[in-house]
Amino acid sequence: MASLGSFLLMATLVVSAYAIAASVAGARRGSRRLVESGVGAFYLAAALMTAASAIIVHAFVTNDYSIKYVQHYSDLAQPLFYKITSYWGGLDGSIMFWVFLLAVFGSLAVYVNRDRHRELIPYVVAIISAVQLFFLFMMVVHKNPFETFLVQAPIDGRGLNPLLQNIYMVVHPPSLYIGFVGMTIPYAFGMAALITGHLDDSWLRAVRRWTMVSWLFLSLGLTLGMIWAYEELGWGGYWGWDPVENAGLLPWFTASAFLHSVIVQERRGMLKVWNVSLVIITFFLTIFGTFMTRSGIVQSVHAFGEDRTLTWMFTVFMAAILLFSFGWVIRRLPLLKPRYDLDSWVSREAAFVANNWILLISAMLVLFGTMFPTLSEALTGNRLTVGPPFFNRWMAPIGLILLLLTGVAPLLAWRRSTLANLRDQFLWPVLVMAAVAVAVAGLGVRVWSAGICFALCGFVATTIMQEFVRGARVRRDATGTDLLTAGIGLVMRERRRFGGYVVHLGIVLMFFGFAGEAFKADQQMLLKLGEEATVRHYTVRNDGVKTSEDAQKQMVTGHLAVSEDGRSLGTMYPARWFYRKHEDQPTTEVAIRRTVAEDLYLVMPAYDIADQSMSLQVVVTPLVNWIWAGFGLLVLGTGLALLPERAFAFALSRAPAEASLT
Amino acid sequence: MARKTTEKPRRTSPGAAAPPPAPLPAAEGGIRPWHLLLMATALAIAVGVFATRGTSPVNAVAVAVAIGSVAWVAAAVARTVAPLVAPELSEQTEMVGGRTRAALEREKLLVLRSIKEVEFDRAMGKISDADFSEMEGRLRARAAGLLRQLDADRSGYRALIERELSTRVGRVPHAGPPAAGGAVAPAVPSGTCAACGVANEADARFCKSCGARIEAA
Repeated sequence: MASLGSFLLMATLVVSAYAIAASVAGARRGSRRLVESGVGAFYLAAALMTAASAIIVHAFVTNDYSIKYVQHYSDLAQPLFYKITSYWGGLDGSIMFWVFLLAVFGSLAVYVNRDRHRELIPYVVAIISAVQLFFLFMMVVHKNPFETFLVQAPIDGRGLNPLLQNIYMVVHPPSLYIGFVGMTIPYAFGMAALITGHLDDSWLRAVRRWTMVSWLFLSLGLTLGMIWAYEELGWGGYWGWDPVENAGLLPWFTASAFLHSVIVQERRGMLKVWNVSLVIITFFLTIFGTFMTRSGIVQSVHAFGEDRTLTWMFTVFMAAILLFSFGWVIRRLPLLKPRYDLDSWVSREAAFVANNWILLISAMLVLFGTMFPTLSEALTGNRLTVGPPFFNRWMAPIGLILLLLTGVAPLLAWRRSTLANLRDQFLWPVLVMAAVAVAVAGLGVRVWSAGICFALCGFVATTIMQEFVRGARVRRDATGTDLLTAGIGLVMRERRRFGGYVVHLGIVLMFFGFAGEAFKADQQMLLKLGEEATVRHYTVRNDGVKTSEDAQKQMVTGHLAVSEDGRSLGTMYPARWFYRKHEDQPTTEVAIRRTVAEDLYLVMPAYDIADQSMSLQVVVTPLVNWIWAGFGLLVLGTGLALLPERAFAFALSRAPAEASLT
Repeated sequence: MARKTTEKPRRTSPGAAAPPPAPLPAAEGGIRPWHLLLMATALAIAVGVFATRGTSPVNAVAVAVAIGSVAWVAAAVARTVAPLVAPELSEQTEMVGGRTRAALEREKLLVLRSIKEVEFDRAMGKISDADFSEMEGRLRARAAGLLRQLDADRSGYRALIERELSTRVGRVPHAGPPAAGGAVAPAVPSGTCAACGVANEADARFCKSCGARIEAA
């Protein structure tokens, strides 16, 4: 089986190379036959990767420990579900999984667009295949997941890292990968447009949905990572500015910027160079992120370990990407002239430009902070690290400016806004913002960043509500329906705009949750049996430490009676789990009591079975659940924007004049 | 994606589902090679699953996936090789004033939409009346220019579409209604105005030039 797997990888390598050659040659000679054959080879690569994936999953399921990778990341006692997901648990498999996703995603994108964007397809195929080729080459020469033991195969595997054995870690990497891999598709279309010179907006239309879907998965991956960190790592927070987290955040920033600036190009024919560049940078950052986590050049809790060969391969590949991409941008500059210029700085497009700059600056700052240790080591020989305080100090104000722009941009008109318009538009949002600010100050909040954040949340939420209500009124007057139908019609006619607003509302909720971080309580204590401690309005009492075990692990559980202002809330059970084969790495099982206002979060870092005492970390994290709720809204809004054209047609039927102009 | 099959998501993937690009000779009754492949795969999976009875269901799934991916590989190989032995297809869309017609159409849509947006923005109170009339005038002039440019285009775009349709659907291109008595009439594209002779969209009910009613084909 292992040799069949290796053979399939090799075959995919050859087929991808053929896909590049055939489609480029076909496009240059105007031969449809060659192009079609290249496209066929592209589909073939996806089929071969699927077969190879099936083989490795099969090896995991049937406990084939003659394959090194399987032996390393699985064992007999592991539940079936985690055996399957061990496929992407390690370095080699994750690269293979990456290629598999890219091949399937790419085939889907090519299949969907094969007629509408026929002139771009050959180069799209060639570029996606080239990216595949790189990863396949890396696998075949350096990191083959099908590598076998030369002599005798072990009887049992070493088992997946226990930290990865939970549902968030099963969903988190694939969703992040889909987000990463998905960004290759806008890049491929963008480059195809540059190479063919078809630089009107058609390539943007082809990639808009792909970018949105990838962005959604990237957001999902980041949020799941946050939840995982919060619930599994047990340090009481959800975002530690770890390099691997940052690797996911970097393309998220630039992809968000692209989703905004794309609108400006569609509506106004501006920012063409900028859009192409953003797509290139986003793609580059996904590769760079993969490089950071795979090569071990940065130190992180969940990087895969250092590897010199890999570093060199990635460096060459990344340099090639930059040279090739920006080379074509420069070559096509004359075709990328804007159709219009910026009319006024008080306009929506100007606000979009500002938003783009801030998102890009965020990405650059995070990149700098993440690479600083490596850079300082290269320059001075000492590894200087910048910790979370650096990021928090810089990112808090940037985040707040971004939040402000989220509220301001929808109130501005395209092209230009006058003073009278501004007064009319900004009256209510600013009043609400001021009211919130006064209320927050009155309640005795003395943390300036949190106070400003709350006020801005009020501002943005009012803006969105005002947009919705005023728009619905205008539509009601125009179509003669009631306000509700008009509202639905409005949202459905401009799904992207209102989907975007719902996403903005989600972001507002998330910021609301982030601001709660300023009011966090975090205390470490040692509790003897029967002893009590009080943190804020919670009291915890040590009722003992008990041990138990199952097939995979031994569990040490603390029993803590919890009460709030004298009222009993029952017992909570923070624990430490010792997986066999990984007993030096016990996992921390956090006990969390969730409410709308705050979470009570208990961690038991150490204990003593003999006298039943434990050291306990008690964390009260206000507003944290709002972050997850905000993410829910974000998904909802993105879904709304992605909805196909025909949904909710009943509310549209009353507006015949606009029917064709969705 | 949703083709006629629902059994195994793997097999409805692009490679397998893509109809062969070259018009392979369709067997009588419209059965295409990929129909046969699909049936053979379904049959093989049924047999394979039956053969694993008595063992754990994991084996049945593994067998089904294996056969499915083999079928997909086979379909994709055929998809790669078939175009190489098929006759060469070639077509080029001509440019109108240095740009493709699709780009012009797109721009027309964009400008029309911008007009709607400017109107909506004024109704929402975001732009002043003076700005509104200036912007709207500019946009209207632009839309009119684009429409004229599109009308002037005689690049045979419609003929190309017809040809494409006929290769895909497999029928002789035929646009207009048969003339009285079945005589061989020169093909008049549907939508041509009887009064002034301007070519309109195929589904137009009134002429965009003179406003006369166009008889439905």
